[in-house]
Amino acid sequence: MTISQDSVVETVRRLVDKQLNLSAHGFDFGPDDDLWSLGMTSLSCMGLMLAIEDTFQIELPEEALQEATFRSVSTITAAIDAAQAGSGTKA
Amino acid sequence: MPRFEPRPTNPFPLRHDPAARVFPLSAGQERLWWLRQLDSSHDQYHITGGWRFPPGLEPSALATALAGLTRRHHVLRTGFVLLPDGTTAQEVVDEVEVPVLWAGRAWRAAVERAASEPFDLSRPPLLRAVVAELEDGPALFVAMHHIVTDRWSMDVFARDLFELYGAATAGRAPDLPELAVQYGDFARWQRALLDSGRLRPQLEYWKGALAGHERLELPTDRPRTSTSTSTSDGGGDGAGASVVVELSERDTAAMTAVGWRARASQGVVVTAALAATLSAFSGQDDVVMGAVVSDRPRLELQDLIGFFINTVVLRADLSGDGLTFRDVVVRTRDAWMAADAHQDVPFEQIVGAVRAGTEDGRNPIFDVVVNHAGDRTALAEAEGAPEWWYPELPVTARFDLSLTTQVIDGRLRATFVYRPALFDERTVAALAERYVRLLGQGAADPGRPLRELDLAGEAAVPARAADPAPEATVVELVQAQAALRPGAEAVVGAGGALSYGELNERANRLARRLAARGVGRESVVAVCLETTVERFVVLLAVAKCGAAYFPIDPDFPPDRLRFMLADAGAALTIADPALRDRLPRDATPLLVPGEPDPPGSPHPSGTPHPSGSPHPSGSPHPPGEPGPQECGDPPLAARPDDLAYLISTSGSTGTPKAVAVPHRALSRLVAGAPAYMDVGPGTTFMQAGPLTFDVSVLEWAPLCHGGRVVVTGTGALLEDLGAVVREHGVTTLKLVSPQLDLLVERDLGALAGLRRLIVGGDVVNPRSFRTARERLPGCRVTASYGPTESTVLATVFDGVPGEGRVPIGAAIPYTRAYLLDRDLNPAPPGMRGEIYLAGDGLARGYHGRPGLTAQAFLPDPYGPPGTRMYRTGDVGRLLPGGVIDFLGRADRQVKIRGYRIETSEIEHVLLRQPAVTGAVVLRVELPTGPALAAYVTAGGPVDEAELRAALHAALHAALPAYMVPGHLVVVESFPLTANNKVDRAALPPVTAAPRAEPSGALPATGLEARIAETWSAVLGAELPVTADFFDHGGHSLLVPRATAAVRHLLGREVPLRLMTRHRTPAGYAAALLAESLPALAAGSRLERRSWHSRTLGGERRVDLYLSEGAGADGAGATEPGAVGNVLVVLDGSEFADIMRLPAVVDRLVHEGGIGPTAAVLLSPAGWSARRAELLADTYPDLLADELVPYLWDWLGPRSRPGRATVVGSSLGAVAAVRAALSRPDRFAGAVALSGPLSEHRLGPDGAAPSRLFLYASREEADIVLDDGLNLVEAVKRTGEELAARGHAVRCAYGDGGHTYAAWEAVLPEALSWALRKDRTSDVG
Repeated sequence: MTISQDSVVETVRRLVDKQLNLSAHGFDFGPDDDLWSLGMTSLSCMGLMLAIEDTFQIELPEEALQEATFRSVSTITAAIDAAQAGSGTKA
Repeated sequence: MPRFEPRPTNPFPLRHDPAARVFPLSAGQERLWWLRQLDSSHDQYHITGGWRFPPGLEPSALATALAGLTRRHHVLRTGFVLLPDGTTAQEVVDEVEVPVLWAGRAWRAAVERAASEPFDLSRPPLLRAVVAELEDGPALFVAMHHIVTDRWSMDVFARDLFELYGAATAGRAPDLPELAVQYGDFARWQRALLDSGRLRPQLEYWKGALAGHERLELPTDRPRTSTSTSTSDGGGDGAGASVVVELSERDTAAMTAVGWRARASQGVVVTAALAATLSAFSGQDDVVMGAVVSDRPRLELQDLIGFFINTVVLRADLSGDGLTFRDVVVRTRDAWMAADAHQDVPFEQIVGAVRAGTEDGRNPIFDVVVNHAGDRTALAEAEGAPEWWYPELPVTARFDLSLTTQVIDGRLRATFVYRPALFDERTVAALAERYVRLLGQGAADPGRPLRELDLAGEAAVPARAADPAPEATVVELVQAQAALRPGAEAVVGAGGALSYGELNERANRLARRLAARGVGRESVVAVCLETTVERFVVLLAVAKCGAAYFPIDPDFPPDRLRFMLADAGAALTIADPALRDRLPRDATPLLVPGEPDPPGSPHPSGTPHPSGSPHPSGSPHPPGEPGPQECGDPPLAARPDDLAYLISTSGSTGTPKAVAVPHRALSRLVAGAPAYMDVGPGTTFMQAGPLTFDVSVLEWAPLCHGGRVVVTGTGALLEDLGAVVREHGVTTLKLVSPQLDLLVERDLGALAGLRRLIVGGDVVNPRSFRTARERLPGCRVTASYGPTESTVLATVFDGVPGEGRVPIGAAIPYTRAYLLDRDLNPAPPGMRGEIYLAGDGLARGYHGRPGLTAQAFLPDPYGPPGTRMYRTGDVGRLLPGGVIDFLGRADRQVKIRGYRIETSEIEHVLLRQPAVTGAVVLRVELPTGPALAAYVTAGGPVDEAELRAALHAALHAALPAYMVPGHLVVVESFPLTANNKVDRAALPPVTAAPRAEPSGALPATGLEARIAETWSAVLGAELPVTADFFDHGGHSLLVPRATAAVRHLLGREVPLRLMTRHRTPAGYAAALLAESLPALAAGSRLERRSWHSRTLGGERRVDLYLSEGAGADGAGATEPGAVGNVLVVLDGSEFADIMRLPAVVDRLVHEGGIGPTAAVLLSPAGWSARRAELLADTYPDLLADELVPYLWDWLGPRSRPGRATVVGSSLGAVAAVRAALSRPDRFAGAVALSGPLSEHRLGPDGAAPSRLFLYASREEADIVLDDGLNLVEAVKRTGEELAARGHAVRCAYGDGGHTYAAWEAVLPEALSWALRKDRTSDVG
């Protein structure tokens, strides 16, 4: 799968927005905004993680399994990049 | 990978409305409000918080801060009210004062009172505070009602309060950002979504998700009663207790990691472990529980104080083999994500949609709740956050069991809160311990099947197998006794007595005869013997041959006997002469002791002669003339693993099966017997069952130990038992439970002199057991348990039983009893498990049924290699001290309406009633669906109706409604099986619905009809009068509305909780009537009769009334002319019972408004017949010529009442006017309330003018009649027409609609007017 950097960010943003119901409730958020303080719960974080893995067809590696990974759109994007790079070298 | 749809967005705008003061309640508040209405004396829904303050807490600054807080958070100055239409609202007031108690050092009592004192929800603030002076400084304690706060809110509360306090002391402005919205705005926003219909698909989701769900039934230590829990009922006090366990730091970290790998949060993992634990605890794999979640779906709500809690239903399917911890986590995660996405549907709506009802005293759908405090700890952990103070307070249990988890300093702390009314601490502690083990081991090894984990703990690991039982067979043992004490009596009773020597010699002779006919090892010899001492000669002889005996009952149908004999492979039948003719002739060769064998009798064909079987030496001797060697013991034939006997038991498939018991097992019974019963020399043993029942096998024990056995008949109902016990000096008696009940009922004195009484074979009646203990001094009373497959006995109990069940005790020697879960792991102490038996007592299996044997006899994982255990199908749990508590048959656990019910629990309630001597509860299939039927026997003659009423009351008092049998049958005695157990199949069948008519039944009275109509309107669907409101989509939030409608109908206060007790319109109507009939004046009389009408046929209810001052004497006779007024009232039951017309007349007479009055109130034969009756052409004449004379008769010959006034409402008003117009000879006029008068022909004008009072309620302008007029217009128009025809008419209009309340209100005016001028009228 080749998703350009821009579209990875955009896709993550869309998934985050849907999971956390942000723009529907009139909230704007930037790539570095702390999602935990935007109302993400540990349960919605898991939902987000499942949606990301599903959408990007990846499995996040062990070291990415921590709260910090899901702090913002940027950190999530970075984790996806790393995961894709990891699987790419394996392939 | 499953896709997870996130929760849908509420599309409505969330805005602050600065003008609004009144808001709807949020869904969660509505539920809390409802719970509060049901129980005004206690309240479990208080939230408390406490914080430490710096020294020198300033009262004025605190007051300022609290005032600022209530200004900032509107919810703190909000009250909750019920509107007249049954809906609720929250109203914000401008100002409140928070009560603050400065308690100083004596703060403890003040804090406790503040925490527990109920709030009046209509009077804000729902908040009170106590200031305490602790050792190291001041602290503030606050208690609030949950309806305005939650846990998270308490952190907001503290942050805002401290800021406001700081600002007040420093004289600065508080630094708190403006709140964007208030709680009321949120409630309205949420309500908009709920009312929009957009949640319909969500509700459909829940219907699907919960379809066919099974309620989790935890084995409680005490039966659930309607007062032991108080979630939705007023009985209990919500008292709780808690057990706290902790997970190590390492295990906590491992648990979190397992969660991440499974894409599950910590909360999901702790819930998964709970689900698995509950599954083990209950034996169910459909686990339904509740989860408390914080629900602040928008950022604007984060800084609000308020009730933002949602409880969602989690249903986890834990079925399947080899389930691992990871599997459980993933399944729980999926359940939780789905529940989270659909959490907008209020719980009450789910309850209504899945028809889970609200069982009185029980939370709908689930009893167990989990609450993980994992998220959003930021506020409490923020820099400079107020320091919490936790004064010790009594624990409140809002659910049967709840688990609250929180990670503190890297360790998971799990707090189990439970209701002590249901559970013992040790039970919850066992559950908690298992929970922590599961979490620890599951986290360490998430891919390993749960059943392979070591979860039981040491307490439950079955004891190691003890030494094997001695192998000496009963043959060797009896022969040894014969050698030791040849002259001592071995058997006495019918047929005389036999000494050990005689018994042995005669058995030796018979054994040789049998051997001559080919009987040897592994042969099966059927025996059909009378209850005489001779039977031991036969049984011992068979054993000496090495063969197995197989008792049969001549009363069995011949086909069944034939089947049994063929099935057992019986080579020969030994029958007593009196019984031989009752056996099928062709089944096996026959041997009759005392008679010569038929000449040349062949060896039984088809019986293989086991090669090498030791035969008696020498050739068979001619019968009748025993040689000396025939009296000596033959060589020992039986080896430990040879069969000793077969016992036939009924098979669940319909054909009997024979349990095959080897000598080893019999030796084990005999060898261990002295441990629990006295069988040695000098003792006399007796049991009163037939040979076909395996209790008779116990008779071997005394014979092997030198004791004495009594064998004789005791009468069908043990009527001769006392005499036998006395005559033979019985010291040790074995009875089957129903036999003991019989004796307790009659006279236990007959058993005086016993030293040991053993009772078992069926559930032991605790009252009988206790009675026996009390009434038989010097006698040890022992309860026993054991299936035939474990050779008569497996466990015994001779301790002191507690309040309820008699435990079955601990394993007897050479026997082990296990309580195992589905995976054959030991059930922890206190948890439900199936009883497995192991040791030397196990039967070989079912004769000739290897498949069945393999199912029931499994490899014993806890015994030596190669040994087996028997699965009893009985359910029990381990009590402290290793004693087993018997909970019932696994297959007698029945399911009704989704509830799993142990019928034995109901039986125990019945058995606790003094009049009941026996009880059996069954699940029966009726055309109306499955139901519970209870059969009881009573000691002596009883009034059956009274007994039923008493039992009903007792059942309702002790059990939840779903466990109360719908059918109660009093039987004279229980049919017993051949083995003296209650023959459940032979109990008389119950017919459909004696208690409630099938749904769809027609209303019997107007009140029933009106209530059904009212409730149907609230439900939005037709509700039959005998149908349960809560089974037809009703839920507790609809109760206020339905009750409000009934209040409106009746015009009086009706308690809300009446509906949770009386859930059908019919039952509710009856309860209303039972509730409050006002007392009549002392001098007046009211008599209810059944009256037969010639014109209409059938029986009708008639109420006859005579006011005070009418000169009534004892016979109802009055002074001539004393009765001036006569009323004929239609729809009599409604006027008598609901509108209370007699009391109204009493008052009018008393106040002098009207003179002495008599009335006859006629009720229709039934609600469905009412319309045709009232409108029948013959009706006026019926009233005039039948009913009025009937009243005269009652009043007595000397009375001369005047013309009557007919009173009716609705259609009865039409009939009343008709009667008045067509029969002026008898009727002076009519009171016609809310009649659709213009719709009907009212009849001719009579000779005399009538006096007619017509009434309608202004709201009835909504009722449009067939002729196009509304009801008010109809009354007005008809009044004008009648007046024009010369009648005296008065039209009156009032308020209240087409209701009893409106009619009752107008009655005084109507009667006063109608009766005013009538006193002088003549009788025609």
